[in-house]
Amino acid sequence: MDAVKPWLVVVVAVVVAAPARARAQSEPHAPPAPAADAASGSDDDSSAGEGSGTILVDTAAFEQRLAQAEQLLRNSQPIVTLGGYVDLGYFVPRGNNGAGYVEDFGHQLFPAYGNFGWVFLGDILAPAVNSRGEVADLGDAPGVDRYDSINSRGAPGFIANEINLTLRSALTPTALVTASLNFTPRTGNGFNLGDVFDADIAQIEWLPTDSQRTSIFVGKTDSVLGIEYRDRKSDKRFGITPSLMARYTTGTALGVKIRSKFGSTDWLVVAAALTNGSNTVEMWHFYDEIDSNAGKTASGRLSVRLPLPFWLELGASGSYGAQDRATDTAHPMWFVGGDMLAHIGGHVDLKAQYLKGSADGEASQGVYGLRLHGGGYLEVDAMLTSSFGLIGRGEYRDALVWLGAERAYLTKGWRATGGVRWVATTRAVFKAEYLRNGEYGRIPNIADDVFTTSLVVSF
Amino acid sequence: MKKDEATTMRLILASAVGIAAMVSFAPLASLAPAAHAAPADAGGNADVVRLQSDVDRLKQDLRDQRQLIFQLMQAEQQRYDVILKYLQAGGGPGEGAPAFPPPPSPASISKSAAGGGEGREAGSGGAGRESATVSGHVRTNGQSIGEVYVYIDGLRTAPVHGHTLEIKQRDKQFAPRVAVVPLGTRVIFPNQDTVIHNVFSQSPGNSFDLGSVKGGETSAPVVLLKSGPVEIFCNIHSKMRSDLLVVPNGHWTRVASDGSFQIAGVPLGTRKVVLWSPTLKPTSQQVEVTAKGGTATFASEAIGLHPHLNKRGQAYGSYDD
Repeated sequence: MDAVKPWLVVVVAVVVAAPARARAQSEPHAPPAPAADAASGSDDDSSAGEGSGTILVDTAAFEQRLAQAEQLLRNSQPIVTLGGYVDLGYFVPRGNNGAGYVEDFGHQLFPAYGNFGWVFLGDILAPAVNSRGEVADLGDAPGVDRYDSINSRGAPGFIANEINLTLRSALTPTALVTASLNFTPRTGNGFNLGDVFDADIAQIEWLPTDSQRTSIFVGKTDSVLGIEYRDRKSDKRFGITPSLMARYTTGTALGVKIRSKFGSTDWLVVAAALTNGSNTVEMWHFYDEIDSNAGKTASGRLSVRLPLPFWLELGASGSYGAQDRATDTAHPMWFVGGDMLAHIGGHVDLKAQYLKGSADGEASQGVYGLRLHGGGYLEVDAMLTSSFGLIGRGEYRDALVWLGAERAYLTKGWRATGGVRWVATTRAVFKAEYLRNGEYGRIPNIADDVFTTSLVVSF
Repeated sequence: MKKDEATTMRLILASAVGIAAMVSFAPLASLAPAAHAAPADAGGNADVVRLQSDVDRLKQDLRDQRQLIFQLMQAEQQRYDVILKYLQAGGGPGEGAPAFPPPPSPASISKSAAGGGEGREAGSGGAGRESATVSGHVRTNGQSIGEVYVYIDGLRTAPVHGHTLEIKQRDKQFAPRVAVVPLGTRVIFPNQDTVIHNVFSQSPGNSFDLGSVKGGETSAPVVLLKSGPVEIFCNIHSKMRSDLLVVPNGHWTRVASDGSFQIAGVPLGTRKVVLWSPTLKPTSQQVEVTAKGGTATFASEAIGLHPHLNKRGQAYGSYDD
């Protein structure tokens, strides 16, 4: 309360002085009214010549001082603004040592894939525990040495999912620089720290038009495929875990991008990008940050918002380019899909996405091949109250991933996700989810369900 | 002369203290976003939380004190009106005239009330003087007239007390989108969405920043203490916008769909008639109001809703919506 006392002094001083100043300003050499007021012709209190104009001039002086203080505030904005969050969690794998696949020993279940040395059934990224898409355990697939970032061996545990620091600065009012840095504390190995530092956004966004409806991006930017990239980060995501399609669409890539809105209500949005590689996520074996070939990946999305009483956005997107990690451009990698986003009644969001894609791979260069026969999800996010919400998501993925004749991963999986969301404060959100992972198409069921939680505190 | 010198000294002292206090507190208030965003190097989270709390409290104090100062000055004005009339009537001690009214106190002014309203006579100094109707037309080039208002500037009543406007945030929109309110109106902003909003305005004299408010909550009220347009935005959702016109008196009206308007009870004399709409270029005219009335004709020029910057003076970027 001590800090308030000077104000009380000022109030008293100003009020006491008001009559005196009023008398002073009624004299011939009284200062003129502020220019701003003069320009706008604002309140002269009707009393110029009608009895009480002296008080008015004092009011104008006070308003001028107020305007100066407001201007001072505006000019005191920091050059760089910092934001971000801390995402903490606790997860419980429900079986299979936390891994999402099993081996088809001796090709007993799928002899048709007998030309591969090893065949694995299931989805390596199914038992996700956080918004990064990290899985409870990567398993012990033979013939590869992978960085298993969580490596829980099926045990439940606490985890600091991600610590994010986002820096924003404006080169000009319409040129924004953004960097998003992630820190993920993980287990070390061989006396090395396991902590990971990851820069997932490093971009300049320029809005060149007066309408500010066109943005040109340069740098490491978000994807244009589908809609899930918009809330890929845990402080934006309604639930916790990404969909089974997120691995193809939510990665950030280096290049240039343009996005424009058209129509009086921005009902048409067009986005296009030219990047080093695809928008697969970085830990997935199709991503490369810096290209090893000259071929670039072109991607785009077109969406329309229908003139309905509620928000309904329909989009189509795709990408095409030389396959990541390949040293030549002989084999393209492509994806194509559709998406839908509806905001209903201000409390319910309906999201859907479908995707398919292909890449032939190149075994001699250690590049995986992909046949994504199809995959998609339907998600409902509903806030029942201003603080409490529910999420439900159903999805599937039908794909074959292989590396030459060495190994293949056969996936025909589905997942049902249910969860809750509690907005504790404007800066703290608690979420919990249960992932029920299942298989179809003669693949035996794998007990790789996951229960996971997340506390996201923004700053 | 000694009395005048003392008065002048008192004036200078009070002004200096006032300016010094505002300048010294303004940077502290401006630290709010920085402190909110960069706690890591400020000596720990506890310090940041405490600093943020102090800043929030000072901001609230600033709003309260602005309102209090304004109310006190208005009360002083009323007091001097009475004194002036008393002197003009030749009153004085020993002549049976009433005693001077006492200086105002915060308690007394908080209960006083004066209000505007469509077609109302301007209060201060307006009682008993002659008035007439200002009428006119707004040419629109065949376009729909929309929400357009006309008011008389340069006449002011005391700010109202107890008048409250509620601007809801629902479906990531403000409701109402456009409103006209009298000077001194309290505005509250209930967040009826399920997402967080950050309502702010940088309109001169009526600037405020309510900070992050989660769904279901209502922030502290804002008192509009300066007449003129007030643009209200959300710092998170760029498409959210509400436009208020704070009128200095009761002499205003909405322009009819055919472009015509009438404002009754305007005191005679040269008056400034102002045309206002969020989507039109602001225009004004000086009109001579005689006993037969006055006429103003405007040619509207559509300017649309220009894009705005966020509270930090930066573009929102591409994915704010």
